[in-house]
Amino acid sequence: MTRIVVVGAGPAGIAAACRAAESGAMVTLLDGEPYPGGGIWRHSIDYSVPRPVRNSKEAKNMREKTKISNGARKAKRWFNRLDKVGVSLRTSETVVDITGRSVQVQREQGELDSIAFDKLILATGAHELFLPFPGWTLPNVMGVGGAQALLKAGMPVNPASPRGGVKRLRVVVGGSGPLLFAVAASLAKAGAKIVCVAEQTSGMQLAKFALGILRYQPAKMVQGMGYMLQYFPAPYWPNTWVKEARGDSQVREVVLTNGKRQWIEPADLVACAYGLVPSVELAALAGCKQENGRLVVDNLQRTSIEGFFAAGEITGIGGTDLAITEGEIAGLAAAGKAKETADYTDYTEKEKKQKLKSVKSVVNKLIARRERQQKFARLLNQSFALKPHLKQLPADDTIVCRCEDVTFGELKNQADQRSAKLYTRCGMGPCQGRVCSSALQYLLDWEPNKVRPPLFPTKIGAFISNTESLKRKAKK
Amino acid sequence: MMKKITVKVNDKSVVVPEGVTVAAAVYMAGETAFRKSVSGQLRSPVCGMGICYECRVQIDNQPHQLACRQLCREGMEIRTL
Ligand SMILES: Cc1cc2nc3c(=O)[nH]c(=O)nc-3n(C[C@H](O)[C@H](O)[C@H](O)COP(=O)(O)OP(=O)(O)OC[C@H]3O[C@@H](n4cnc5c(N)ncnc54)[C@H](O)[C@@H]3O)c2cc1C
Ligand code: FES
Repeated sequence: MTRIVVVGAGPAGIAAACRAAESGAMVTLLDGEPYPGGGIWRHSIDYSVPRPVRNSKEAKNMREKTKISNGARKAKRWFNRLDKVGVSLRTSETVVDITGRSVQVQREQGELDSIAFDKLILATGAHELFLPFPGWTLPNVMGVGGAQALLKAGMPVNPASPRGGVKRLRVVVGGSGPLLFAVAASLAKAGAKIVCVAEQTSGMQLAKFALGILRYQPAKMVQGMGYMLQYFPAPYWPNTWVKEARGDSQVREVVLTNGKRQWIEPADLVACAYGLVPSVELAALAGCKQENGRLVVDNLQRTSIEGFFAAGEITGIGGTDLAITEGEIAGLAAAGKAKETADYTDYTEKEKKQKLKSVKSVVNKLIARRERQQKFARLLNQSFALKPHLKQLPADDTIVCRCEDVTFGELKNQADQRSAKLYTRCGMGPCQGRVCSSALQYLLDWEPNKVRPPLFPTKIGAFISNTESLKRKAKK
Repeated sequence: MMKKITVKVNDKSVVVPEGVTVAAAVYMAGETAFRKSVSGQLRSPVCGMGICYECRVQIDNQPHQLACRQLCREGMEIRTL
């Protein structure tokens, strides 16, 4: 039986695991989060998103009783499928290294383990691009997806006020991308007061995007309108960005600008991020080829390394539906169910189309679907391309590396990421450059640094507790 | 009814629904600052998904634990800054 390890239990990883297991493979699905679901289907504390929880009948009952919203219906379908096929789902297990044909995982308490595989599917998704601006290190300034994730995990946005009653947090949502709509809507639904949504891209680009949606995915248009209604009457301003956050022990107000004038809005919470970047670190560690920050894959989602596949936003930002399709293809291919499909890499567009039409197979159907969804992905990336003036966001005294508190002034005259690391400690902290390195790639056009194992710092606390337990043993 | 559990945030008892993260419990306790940076600035979660390491707190005497990635357990003692 083929042993397949899937890293990342987002939509792509779940789809891959299902398809591979349904094809007879023995599948282990790993995720560092306590719950599966990835960026979008992450568990939600009001249980509006269903979730399989390991060995818990109670959770299953809860799920069956839950009213499922439209968007979560797809999630429920996939989670049910996952339950049914008997994939070994292991959450709170982060993959920190890949050596030969096994992955090294670290559990919540820091214990290490190793899992052997014949085929590996990388579905590590994406993380947000945070661009530093003055005041972005103040408490309660966070990412857009970050705010969504924290909200789903139980962060209150209408906490009890010390003077009695509830205090609805005033939230400014900023940055770029369709996520801004969705998150503003969730925050409003949870009781926050949305002050405004500031989108850096122009009204013209947004109009083009809307037309494109109507053409490729009309259902998404309805969804978008629904979101706007939820946070109505807060304004949505194109061509606007957060220039500065001000406050004391936390953020209190933001300075917004449209390039011509600037103005101040009150804010108790700022959710700001400039889209997503593929999380390629683990794949880079394994030596998979990448291009422009994305993993390179062929027609069957194969990476440059034999037996290693990749699916979802690790191969480029394109939304949930594309991630699912890619996951399905990767799962089938890894399980050896795509043999009838030729590798079309060397074919012309026309030949490829003919071939896809003539050979009827599940994989070919999925490949055709993926091509359609990639059109939408291209439109998405064009519409929300970052304006060059955002490179001016940080001031000289703005901190860029949040782990080591290195400022933009200290960094801007360094030659590259390597010398920055050497002379300023930028990127040497526990986040290992995930936040600052992506920002610097954009701000100063730097190349990313080489990734080294282990991918995540081995837990300091766990380390201490291990040595302490050793000491205790020694005493006995 | 969702099960409730009690945790302590900086010695203050907070009752939270089962399944919330430590980060959520800290917010529920009315705190906004989670840790102090190397130059002494106050910081709070940014990514919510185990990437940024800004949500580090002390949990049951273990320092540098990611608040966004751990679920609350009955009797847990959480300490910020
Ligand atoms: C914080 C955040 C919030 C988002 N919220 C929304 C939303 O509300 N609505 C929406 O439409 N889209 C949202 N998105 C976008 C959405 O996530 C993507 O469009 C889609 O989910 C991509 O699917 P994926 O399977 O490729 O990756 P993801 O969904 O990103 O899943 C990747 C998974 O891999 C895991 N992982 C990564 N590295 C490792 C490792 N080394 N070891 C173990 N596990 C690992 C991660 O924990 C994660 O669960 C959000 C994205 C982010 C980052
Ligand atoms: S909030 Fe970023 S790691 Fe926890």
